[in-house]
Amino acid sequence: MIPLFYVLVVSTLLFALGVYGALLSTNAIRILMSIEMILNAVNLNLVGFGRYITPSDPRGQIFAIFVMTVAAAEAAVGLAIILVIARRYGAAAIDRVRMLKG
Amino acid sequence: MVNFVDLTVFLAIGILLPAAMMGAGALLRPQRPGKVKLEPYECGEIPVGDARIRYHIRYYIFALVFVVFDVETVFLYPWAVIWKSLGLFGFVEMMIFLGILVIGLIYAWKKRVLEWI
Amino acid sequence: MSYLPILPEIVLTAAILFLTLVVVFYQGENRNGVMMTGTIFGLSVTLLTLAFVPPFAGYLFSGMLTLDGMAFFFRWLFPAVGLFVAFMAREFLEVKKAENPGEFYVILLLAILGMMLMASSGDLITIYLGLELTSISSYILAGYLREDPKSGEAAIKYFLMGALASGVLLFGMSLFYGLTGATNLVSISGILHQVGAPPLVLAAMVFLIIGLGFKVAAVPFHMWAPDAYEGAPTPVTAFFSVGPKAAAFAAIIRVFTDGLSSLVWEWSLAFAVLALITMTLGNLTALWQKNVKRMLAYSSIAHAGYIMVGLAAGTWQGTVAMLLYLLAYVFTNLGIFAVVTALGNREGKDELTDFTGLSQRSPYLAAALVVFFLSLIGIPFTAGFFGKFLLFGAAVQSGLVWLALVMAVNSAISVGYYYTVVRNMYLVAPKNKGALPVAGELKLVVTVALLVTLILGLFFEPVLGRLVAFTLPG
Repeated sequence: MIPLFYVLVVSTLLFALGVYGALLSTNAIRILMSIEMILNAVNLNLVGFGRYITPSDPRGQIFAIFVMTVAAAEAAVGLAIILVIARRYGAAAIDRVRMLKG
Repeated sequence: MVNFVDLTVFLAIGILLPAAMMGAGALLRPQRPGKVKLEPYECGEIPVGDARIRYHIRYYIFALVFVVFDVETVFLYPWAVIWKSLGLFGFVEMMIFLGILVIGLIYAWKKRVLEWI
Repeated sequence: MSYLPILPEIVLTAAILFLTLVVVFYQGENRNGVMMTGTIFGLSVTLLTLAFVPPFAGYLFSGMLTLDGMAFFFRWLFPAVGLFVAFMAREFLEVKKAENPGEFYVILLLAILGMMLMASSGDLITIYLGLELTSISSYILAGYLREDPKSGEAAIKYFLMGALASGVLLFGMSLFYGLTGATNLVSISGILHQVGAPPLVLAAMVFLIIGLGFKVAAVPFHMWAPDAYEGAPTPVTAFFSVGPKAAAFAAIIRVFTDGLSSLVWEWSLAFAVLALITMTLGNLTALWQKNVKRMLAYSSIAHAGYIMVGLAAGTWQGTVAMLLYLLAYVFTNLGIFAVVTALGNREGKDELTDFTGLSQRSPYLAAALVVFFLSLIGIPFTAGFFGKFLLFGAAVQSGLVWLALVMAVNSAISVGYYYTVVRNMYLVAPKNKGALPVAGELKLVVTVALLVTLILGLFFEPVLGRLVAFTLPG
């Protein structure tokens, strides 16, 4: 069986990549994809811990299912907001959206 | 370690077999290239225009609604596995959950999101 | 399994489902008014149910929910916030010609349901679900005016930062699950008491602090707040500055005092530093603002800093002080935003110069605004005074005299920007002459907020007594 350590390495890399992408991208869709990557890292963590730390307790997997469904709802709302922005500015480039100073 | 040997053999066969079949086909078939053969296949229709056009906004909303309802069904699987041991209580709970989803569907329906243009 | 204790939440859910159907099936002219009435009715029934459900203290659904005094306090507070915001929204939606005024109320109620869930959760899963229900509804509310580019910009900034914060918070939660093998806050607390504070636990705690810090707009993580507050529709800004913020504080109290009680030394230190920079930076930046919503955004950041002093104290006195401060801050801020809404509905730009001569155009609103500002500064005989006083006391008791002093200095700084508005109202000649027409329900909101601010300021002892009885450990 694969040790838990391997699972954690992958999830940590995914998380780090996600944070990197979310902070440095200028495209809203790409930021959204990076955030989804963070959530996938979390799911990997939850399922991995559930399998190795508490094998008799499905808590981690249930948490992961909730994270997946909420992420879908979040993505739906986010894409709708990005659509409204894209129709006004012509693209999802977030650096063009700067009416409010800050 | 045995697993990795199996995996390597499987991978090798997976690469070699399609390569061998396509190579054999290329050697045996008559070579008659034509313009019609390079066109994308669209079930017999003649392709018109570019594939990268702007879709109507309705398609996005349709897709978003689909994603949400699609993912909600994931809750049905764990429930279906143990629904006998949950008894009537679990059944009523899931019906309430589905009822809430149906109200969402009615909302989308009356907002005319489901109409195909 | 008993459903009776969560009857208020069930009533609210039923109201949400019913109103969703009303939105699509009722096509009359006065949809906006009908939906507001329905919302008010639903929230009132929720509050009534809360008052008449037999008191229950303990854990429900195998520890998923914790119903204690603090949960009761917030479950009472959030529907009240909803009532205020619903009253403020009707005329605003009409003036701004919102395309679909009906859905606004449904989404508002969903956010309130999420906030109630967050405040009474006893498990990382329920905290996450409540937080996301609140956040996702908030993103939609921020971008509610689709034709207004500012509203869209507020929504996208709030959404991207909020979703990132949720991800970071969730990563911390998953680490805690891995470290303790539990998601229940009480079990986590028990296991952490045995293992002490290894570095990995502290690292996971940092993720939680960052994630929740985003949600309350603590200073290194506050970038989204001024833009989201300025661009969002004014009643929504009012809601953001009190609702999701108070709910995030409820979640912080849950996670840190219930779950991570063994690490109190570590996290109280972190919150002391955050409180220091949050209130100082919030107050100093507010001095330079021209837009009243942006100014109030920085003011609300500063107030989040004050509230975190209660966390820095790390005692139950600190928690009581936080709750009382939140109570005072919520109603005062709602009153201020009701005045801003009334003015914005007529002037439309929410600039500080719009306030010129308000004392002549609407003496009542101007006077009420002065009282609200006094309460936010913390002048005696207003609600804000006792909140600050208790926070001050809690900080001194925990040996954080320096933080208490910084808080006092900051209150003095905040006089600067509140005074700008007061000077415009009383000493500068009006730009637009003539009495300011104010809708009846906005007057009602201002009056109720004013009464709460003054009554809390004059007779705070019974309220404090109830709160102490609620939150007393053991």
